[in-house]
Amino acid sequence: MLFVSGSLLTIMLTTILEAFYLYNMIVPRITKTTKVLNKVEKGDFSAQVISPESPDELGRLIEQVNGMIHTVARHTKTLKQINAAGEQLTQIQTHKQLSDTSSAFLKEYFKVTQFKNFPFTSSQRSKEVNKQHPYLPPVSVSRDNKQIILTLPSNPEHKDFAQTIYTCKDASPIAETNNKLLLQSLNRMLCNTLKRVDAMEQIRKAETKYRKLFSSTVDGIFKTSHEGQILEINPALASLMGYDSKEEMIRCVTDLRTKGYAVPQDRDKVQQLLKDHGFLKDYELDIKKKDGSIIPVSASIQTVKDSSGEIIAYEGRFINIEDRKLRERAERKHEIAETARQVQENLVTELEMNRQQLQKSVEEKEILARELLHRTKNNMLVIISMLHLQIQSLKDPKMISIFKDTENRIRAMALVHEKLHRSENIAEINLGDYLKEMVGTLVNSMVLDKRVTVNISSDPVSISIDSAVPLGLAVNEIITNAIIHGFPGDRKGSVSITVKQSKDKAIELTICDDGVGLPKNFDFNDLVSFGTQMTRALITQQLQGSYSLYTEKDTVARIRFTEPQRLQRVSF
Amino acid sequence: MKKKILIVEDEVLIGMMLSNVIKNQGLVVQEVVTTGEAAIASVMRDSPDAILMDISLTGTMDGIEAAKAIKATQDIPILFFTGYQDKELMQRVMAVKPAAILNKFDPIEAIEEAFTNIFK
Repeated sequence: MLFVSGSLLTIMLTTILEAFYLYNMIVPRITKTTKVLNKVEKGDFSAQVISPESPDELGRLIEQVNGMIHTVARHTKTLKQINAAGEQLTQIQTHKQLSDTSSAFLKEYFKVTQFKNFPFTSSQRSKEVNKQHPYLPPVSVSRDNKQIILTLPSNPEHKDFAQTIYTCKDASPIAETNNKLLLQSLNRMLCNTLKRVDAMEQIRKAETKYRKLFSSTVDGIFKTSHEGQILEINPALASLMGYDSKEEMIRCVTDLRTKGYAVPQDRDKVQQLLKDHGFLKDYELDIKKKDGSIIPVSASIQTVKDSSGEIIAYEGRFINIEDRKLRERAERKHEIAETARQVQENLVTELEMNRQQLQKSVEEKEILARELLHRTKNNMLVIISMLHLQIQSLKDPKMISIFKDTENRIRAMALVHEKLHRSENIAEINLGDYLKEMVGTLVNSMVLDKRVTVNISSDPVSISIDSAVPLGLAVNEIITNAIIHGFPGDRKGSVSITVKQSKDKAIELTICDDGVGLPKNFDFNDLVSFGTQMTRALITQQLQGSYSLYTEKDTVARIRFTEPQRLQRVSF
Repeated sequence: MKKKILIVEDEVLIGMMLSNVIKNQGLVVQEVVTTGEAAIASVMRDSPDAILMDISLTGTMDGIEAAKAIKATQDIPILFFTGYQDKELMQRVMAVKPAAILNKFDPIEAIEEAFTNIFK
C-alpha cells in the first residue's frame, strides 16, 4: 500500500515538478514571444529580438519567429523607404532636383563610401535612348554588386546625361533581396518622375515662350470673360489703350462694353458673330482709350468654351490700325483729288474741243457767208458785163445813158457786197470807206479827165447791209445827177461828202457840189425822173429818213436817217 | 502788127465784155478760155503779147498757178483781173510779178488804161 502510495506520490511529485518546469521554461518564452508578436503586429520592430534561451524545439521556433520578424522589419523599412522616396519624388520639379534627390536616396539607403560624378554628353547613351525606350532605368548595378550607377538626363530632350558612380562598402546590401526590390522601385519611380519633370519642363518652356511672346508682342492680347471682365491682358494692349500698365487697365476697365468699346452695341454685335462663327479674323472695330479718344483696331477673336460647349471667355488680339486708316484716308483723298483733277482735265479738254468746234463752225459759217457775198457780187458783175455788152450795140444816146445808169446802180450795190465780204464784221461796213470807193469809181466813169474831184470826210460810221444798199443807190443817183446837171460841158469843180453821226445814232449825210446849182424855179416835188423818184423812195420809205435838196452857195443834198433796230441776222 | 491778148475768165459773159473792150481798143483777142489748163495750152500753141487773167477759175488751178506755170516758160506780161483784195492773195499775186492788178469794180476804162501802159 505504501509502495503504491509511494509510487503514486512519486508520480504526483514528478508531475508537479514537470508542471513547474514547464511553467517556468516554456510559458514565459511563449508569453514573451506573444508580446513581441503583438508589438510587431502594431508595427513596432524595436524589441524584435527574442532570446531563444535554450536550443529546444521552442528555442528553434523562437529563432524562426525572430528571423521572420527581422524579414518583416526589413521589408517594412524598405517599404517605408520606398514610400518616403515616392513622396519626395512627387515634389520634384526639375532635373537638378531629381538628380540631387536620387543621389541623396542612394547615399542614405546604401552604405556608400564614395561617389564620383561624370558630367558628360553621351551621344551613345542618347542614341540608345532614342532607339530603344526613351526612359531606360536610371539606376543600374555593377557586376560585382559594389557599385550603383545613376544616369540621369540634364534636360527634357535627353541630349545630355550626367552619371554618378556610388561605391558601397561591400556587395552585401545591394545583393539583398529587399534592396533589389528597393532599386527596382526606385528605377520605376525615377522613370515616372523623369517623365513628369520632362513634361513639366516642356510646359515651362512653352509657357516661357508664350509669356515672352505675350509680353513682348506689339499686338494687344487679351482674354476676357463672357460677361465683359478682363481676365488677362498683355502690356502692349494696356499701352495700346493708353494705360500706364496692364494692372491699371484691369483696375479701370471693369466693363468692356462701356469702357472698352467706342460703341457699346459693337460688343453685342461681336458676341453674336462669335456665337455664330466661333471666331473673328481681322474685324475692324473702334475702341475707347483711357483718355476717351477712339482708335481703330483690327481684331481677331476666338471663343473659349467649357466642357458643355458654353462660351465662358474670349481670347484674341488687337492690332492698332490708326496709321493704316490714316494712310488709307490719305490715299482715298489723293484718289478723289486725282479723279477730280482728271474730271476737270477732261472737262477742260471737252470745253476746249467744243470751243474749237464752235470756232470752226463759226469760221465755216463766216466763210460761207463771205462766199455768198462774193457770189452775189460776182453775179452783179456778170449783170454789169451784160449791160456793157449790150451798150456796144446801142446807137441811141438816151438808151446808152439808161444802160450806163443801170450799170452804175448795180455797181453801187455790188460794192456794198464787196465791202461786206472784206469787212472784219461781216454784217456791217464802214460807210466812209464805201462811199469813197463807190463815188470815186462813179465819178471816174462819168468824168474822164478828172475835172471833178471828190472829197469825203466821215465820222467812223458802221452801217448794215440793209441800210447800205438803199443808201448807196440813193447816193449813186444824187452824184449822177450832180455830175450831169451840175458840171455840164468842161466845167470843173468838186463834190464834197460829209458823214456825221450824232449821239442818238442818227446819221446825216451831206453832199455838196460847187456846180451850176439848181434852176431858180426848182421845185423838189416836181421832179418825176426815175432816178429822183427812186432816190426819194429809198430814203424816205426804205430808210425812214428825210431828204432835202437845195442850192444856197453850193448845191446841197442832205439825207438824215436812223438805222432801225433789227434782229441781227448774221453775227460773229 | 496788132498785139494779141489771151483772156482767161471763167464767167463767159464777163469774158465777152472784156473781149469787146479789148477789141474796141484796137487789140486782137487771141482766145477767151475759162481754165488755167486751157490758158497754158493756148500759150503753148501761140504766144500772146499779154494775158488778162482772172484769179478764181473753174478747173483744178487758179489764175495765179496758171500764171506761174506760164511765166516759167515764157515772160509774157500778165494783168490780173480780180474781185478779191485779200492780203494773202495779193502776196501770192505779187510773187508772179504781174504787169498790173485790176479791180473788177473799177470802171471798164481802167482796163483800157492798163493795156495802153503796157504797150506804150
